[in-house]
Amino acid sequence: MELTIQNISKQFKELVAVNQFTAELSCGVYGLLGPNGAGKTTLLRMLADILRPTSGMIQLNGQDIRSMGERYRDVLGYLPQQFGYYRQFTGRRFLMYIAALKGLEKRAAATKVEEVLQLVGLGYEADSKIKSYSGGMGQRLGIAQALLNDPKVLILDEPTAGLDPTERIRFRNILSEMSANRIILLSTHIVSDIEYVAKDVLLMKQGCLLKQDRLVSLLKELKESVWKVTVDESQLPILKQRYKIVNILRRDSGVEVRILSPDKPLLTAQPVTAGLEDLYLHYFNEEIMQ
Amino acid sequence: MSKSRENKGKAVWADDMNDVKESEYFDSELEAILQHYRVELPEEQRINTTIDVLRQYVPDISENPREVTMMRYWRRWINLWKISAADIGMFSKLYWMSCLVLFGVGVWIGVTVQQMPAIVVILFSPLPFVIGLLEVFKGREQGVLEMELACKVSAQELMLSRLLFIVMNSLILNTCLSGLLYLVRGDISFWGLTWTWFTPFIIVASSSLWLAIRIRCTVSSMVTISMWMAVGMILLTRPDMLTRMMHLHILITILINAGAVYLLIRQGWKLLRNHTFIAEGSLSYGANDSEYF
Repeated sequence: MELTIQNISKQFKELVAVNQFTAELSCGVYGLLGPNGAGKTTLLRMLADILRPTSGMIQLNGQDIRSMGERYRDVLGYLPQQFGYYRQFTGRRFLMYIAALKGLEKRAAATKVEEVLQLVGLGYEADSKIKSYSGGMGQRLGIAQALLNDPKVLILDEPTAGLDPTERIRFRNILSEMSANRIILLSTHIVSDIEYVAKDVLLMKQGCLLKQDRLVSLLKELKESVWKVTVDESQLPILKQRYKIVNILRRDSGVEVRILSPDKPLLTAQPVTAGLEDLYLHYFNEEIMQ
Repeated sequence: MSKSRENKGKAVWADDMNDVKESEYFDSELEAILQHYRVELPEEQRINTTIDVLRQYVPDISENPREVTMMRYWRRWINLWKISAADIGMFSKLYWMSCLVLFGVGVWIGVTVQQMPAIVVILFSPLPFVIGLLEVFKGREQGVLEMELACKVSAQELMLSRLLFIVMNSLILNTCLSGLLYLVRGDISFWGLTWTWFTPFIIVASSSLWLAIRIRCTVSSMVTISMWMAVGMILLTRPDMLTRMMHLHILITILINAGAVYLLIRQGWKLLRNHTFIAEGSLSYGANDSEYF
């Protein structure tokens, strides 16, 4: 199975949200990383065929997804970044409703609904009204609806927002198990989610694809570029001025600083293995949400 | 003569034999040469995928295009009604309760108050539709639209089916109200009463749909109901206006009705266009995407 994105662009009046984006995705989990406003959500909406590109084409196994219509939606699971619910519905009823919209037969839908409810850990609250759900439970219900039709293409926009660590781990495991015969595209700011499950990472900035590669290959670029050093509190402002600081940890012995720099920042600095957070900072130089 | 022919025949036969032998020789030689090459054949699955991809470009000459279009059209309609029927269970209790209460109050006032039947049907006729609009737009209002858009049954089909349902439900309720008042009272004409409520119903329905597409439906419904109540108060205090309305020339009434029906259909079409795709950051989804239609 192959999802091909060919020179896709989306323009909203003067703003170019996605610019000539080209990528090829096969079975596996792909992590989409980029700062706010990079065009990730717009790209995912186009991939979900709910937003028309200004130019370019998206193909699934060589067929234009727009001409595929229902056949594409048959194999599509989509979790939007922001969504609501019919709050008077129970979780089960809401899933039955979405299952009906996805064209599942009633009996098959009931079985599938039960299955996905258990999968996301909502079985015990399935018959409570959605208005009584916490944020994390709502998010899990969102994930559950995306899985209802056993999708071959799963597009998830910030799926782990609002999930507690246990739920995030559960969700990552679900993704890993599912990824053998599916294309899963995951957009998130929580870089550790991508670090654990993604086959490839797509870096996106200002609507363009900066890089698409294996995480290991991307991290190789940062070899000898990430340093750890313990300094005195008074040295910290100077370091902040001169270098990209990934992390600051106050210890009894002083302040342990993780620095991103191509050169050794201080004589006492020790090189450390680069992580995805370092990579994120290297490319986007923005505050990391963790 | 015959001997030479016989010899000639033998010579031809010998030539043929030589040709066959030569051909066999070349065949075996060719096979030996080709043995050095390996031809990689694609997998069966890849061949099938290629055929599937190309199938979309192959015209089906066995089908009449006009018939196919008609079939598609009818299939879509049938499908729409099926969705509508299946979706009834998803309508909120508030909608059903409102319809029931309005109908009950309408019957009660219409039966008990002598002068009221026309005003009652006029005032009550558009209300189930206006309240029903909340159901049509609930996906957009409650943020579920983006999920619905990515489903097989599209959001616009869903909204249209709900719209059809609330139109049908309103028509049935209003007809039942007229019928019941006609049966109970006996001093009014059923068709006259039906004609009386149809014009305001269709005008208010089309204008409330026009408004709901443009602003939040909860707000538009409140605005429409408030305005309609104000109209009701005027009609109650100025019975001469009602009489004048009821005695409008038939041609003018038909023209007004036709215009309102046209506006309703046009708004229904607009609803479909606006909710096929979404536009980032817009409340009215699809508002910026009009260039694509």
